[in-house]
Amino acid sequence: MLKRLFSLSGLVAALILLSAAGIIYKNRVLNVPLLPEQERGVWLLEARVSYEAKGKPIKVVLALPGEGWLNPEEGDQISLGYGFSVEQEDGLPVGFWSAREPVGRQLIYYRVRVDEGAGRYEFAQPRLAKVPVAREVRAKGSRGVALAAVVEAVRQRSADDVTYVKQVQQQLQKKPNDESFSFLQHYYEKKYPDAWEQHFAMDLLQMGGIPCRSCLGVKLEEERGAHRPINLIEYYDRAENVWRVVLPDGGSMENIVLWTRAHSMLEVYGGENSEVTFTAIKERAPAGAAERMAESPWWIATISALPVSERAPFRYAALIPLGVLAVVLLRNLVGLVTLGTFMPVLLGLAFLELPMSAALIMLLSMLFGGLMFRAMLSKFNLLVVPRVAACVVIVTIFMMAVSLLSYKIGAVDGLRVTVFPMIVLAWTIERMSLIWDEEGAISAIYQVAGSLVAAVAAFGMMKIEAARYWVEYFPEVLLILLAVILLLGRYTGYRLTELFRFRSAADVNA
Amino acid sequence: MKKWWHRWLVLPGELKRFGIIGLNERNGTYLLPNNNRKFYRKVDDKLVTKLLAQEMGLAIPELYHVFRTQQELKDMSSVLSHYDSFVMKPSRGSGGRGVLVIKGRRGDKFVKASGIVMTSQEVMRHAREILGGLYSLGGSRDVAMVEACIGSHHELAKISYQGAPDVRVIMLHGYPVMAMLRVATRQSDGRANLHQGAIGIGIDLATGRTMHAVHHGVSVTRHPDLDTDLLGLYIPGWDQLLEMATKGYEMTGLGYLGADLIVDEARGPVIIELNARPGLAIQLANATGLRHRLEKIQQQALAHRGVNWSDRIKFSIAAFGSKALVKV
Repeated sequence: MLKRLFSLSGLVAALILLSAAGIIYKNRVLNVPLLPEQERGVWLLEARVSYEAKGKPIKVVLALPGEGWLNPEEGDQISLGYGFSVEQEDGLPVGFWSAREPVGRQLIYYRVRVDEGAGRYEFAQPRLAKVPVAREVRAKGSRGVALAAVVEAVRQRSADDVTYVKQVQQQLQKKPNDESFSFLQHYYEKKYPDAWEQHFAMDLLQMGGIPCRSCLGVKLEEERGAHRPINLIEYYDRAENVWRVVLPDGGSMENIVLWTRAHSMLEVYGGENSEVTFTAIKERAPAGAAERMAESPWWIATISALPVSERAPFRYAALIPLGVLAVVLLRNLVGLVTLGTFMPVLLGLAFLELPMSAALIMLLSMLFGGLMFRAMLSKFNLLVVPRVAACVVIVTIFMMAVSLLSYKIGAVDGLRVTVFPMIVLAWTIERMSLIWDEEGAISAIYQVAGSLVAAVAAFGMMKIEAARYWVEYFPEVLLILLAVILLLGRYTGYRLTELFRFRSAADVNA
Repeated sequence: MKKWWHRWLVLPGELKRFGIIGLNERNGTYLLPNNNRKFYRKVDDKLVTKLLAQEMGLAIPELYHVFRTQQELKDMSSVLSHYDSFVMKPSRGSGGRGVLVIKGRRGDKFVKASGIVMTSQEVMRHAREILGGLYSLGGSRDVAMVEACIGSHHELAKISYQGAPDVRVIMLHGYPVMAMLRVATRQSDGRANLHQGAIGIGIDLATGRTMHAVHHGVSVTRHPDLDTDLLGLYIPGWDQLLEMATKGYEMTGLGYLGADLIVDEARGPVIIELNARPGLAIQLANATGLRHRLEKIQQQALAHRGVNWSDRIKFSIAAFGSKALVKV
């Protein structure tokens, strides 16, 4: 008994020492602060190029950011077996990768750091010697007539270049039901499936005499995950003599940075199925800290060395132990009853993605709907696995319904209902209805409430900014977490709910 | 001294003083170190328990039939037609879940203990659910056992609202620690689980007489539905019952063990099931904490190994029986 406790405490001490050593080393030697830097954030923005190589010589040309807000030489590239250089193409910087004969799926990463406080880099001025002139749009026949009609309508309702652009954007957003607009929409959609709004708007601008050109932007947003480049339009405001960057449909430019003014983002010569996606994550450690960690002998205890797109899911996964700790505390110290041991952690992860109230409403309505359906099913005497499978199907359909409904009423949060784990929901419904049948409604509701409380607690644990910072830059705190959980595993004291449960002991003994 | 807060809770220090143990202590100190996982099958699978009990010569309800596959359920009606009363239960269920008690027949229909009539389709559905693993731990597939329905001794039946009262004995290293009688109420629907509203009645190990009763965590002296006296009642065949429960240790090798028995009018005590994770409500039923007794047995078991069952019972009766209390 004693011996066993000793070895456990030995293990716990070893874990804590190891963890503390790592934290002190990182903090003192590598200068990684112990708390996130609140004042000024740095974004890590990464382009991930993937393509299928066929064993032929390969050239990959990726447009790089430049022109004012960033020096392309400051970016890092990660690729295996490629020659890399930064070159100029039509006056714009491009990254140039080449390899003799790679085979199979290829990945190339290019990463830059973007200072959040570095001013409005997205509207940086290009240096141009002469005032640009609008290109002539050659449109004949019915397209010409239709374009002229739309341009006339826009011109009527605008006063200058800025309001003209606003009107064009409004048209594209509302998609009016008149004949010429529908005709044009159909035409551009067919001709430019990926960027019809951009080309449509540009033609409208140029016909209105406004010089403009296409460019590509990237969104600085962690929640979006990997995304494709965003089509932007840059037009010349002749009254103010400045270039302005807008989204074709007039959406908010917040957090969008201009990546390149080149027409195309990526060209791969010799490969197939090429694609470029962008991932942005906020670096919470100061500049240089992540690099120092990646190059230090302690590199094993950092995820900073990973490419951004691979690192993003890890930041998320590293939170799960925090949620698990919350569940352990609630179950073994408080004595809360939950449906399924770690189901609340999965719900907590879903809560991270959505505003809490929306998540709770969606969850409860899905549980309620699922229970109704489950009650209906119980008449048919189905076997267990098909019955739960039927529940999964129904939950899926509910999710679609919630999504569509919230889209119709304009509640954007509802669109992301798929963050809820379907299988877990289906099993929760099944267990809940069983408990309902066997132990009554109160017991079922009590356990669901317990699960929700645990889910919210797990969410709260995973939401703490400092905790998120630690698991990202000091993953060795997970060893301390492990030590705490091991110690909790030896806790033999009372649970909070037992103080209530055993209250009648006072009747006789006290 | 009863304090104002005792209406809602007891303080941890007080609980400790009363010697009440919590779930964490039960699991961490008594259950995990003493129960070898490889023996769990002996109690978690009731078919295995039955076979083992038979080998030991312990009385069990007669096994009528086992349905193992959905195909076998096709001739369920003809199999069940031989029996007027029976109990159908999952072999690996827990906490009384999925136990169907049929007391009699009405035409081709079945009458439950509560008097509710079930069609043979409904019984079939219940069997299907058992096979599908609805009631088993982790939802894995299971088999449905059909066994004899044990009639309760009339002395005990008169204090239970439907459903046979059962006796739970908790043992550590084969020494009886504490015992209680569980009787059903209208609210518990024939079931003997305390958290579903059954009454727990503590039994004196020495005399086999009921001493103290709780219903929903509150001390009571009379049955809420039947208004019969719950205390001072003798459990028929008590010595034999203790002997059978105690032999459960030899049978399973589990250090921390609960045995559930029903006293049959004709056969006397019969083992219904064994439990490797018996609950803690027995402390409330006896108005006594387990810790003091468990620690005492722990010492005794360390000091003397290989003690036979009758000496273990003698030790427990001497140490924890009411006469011992009087002496102190």
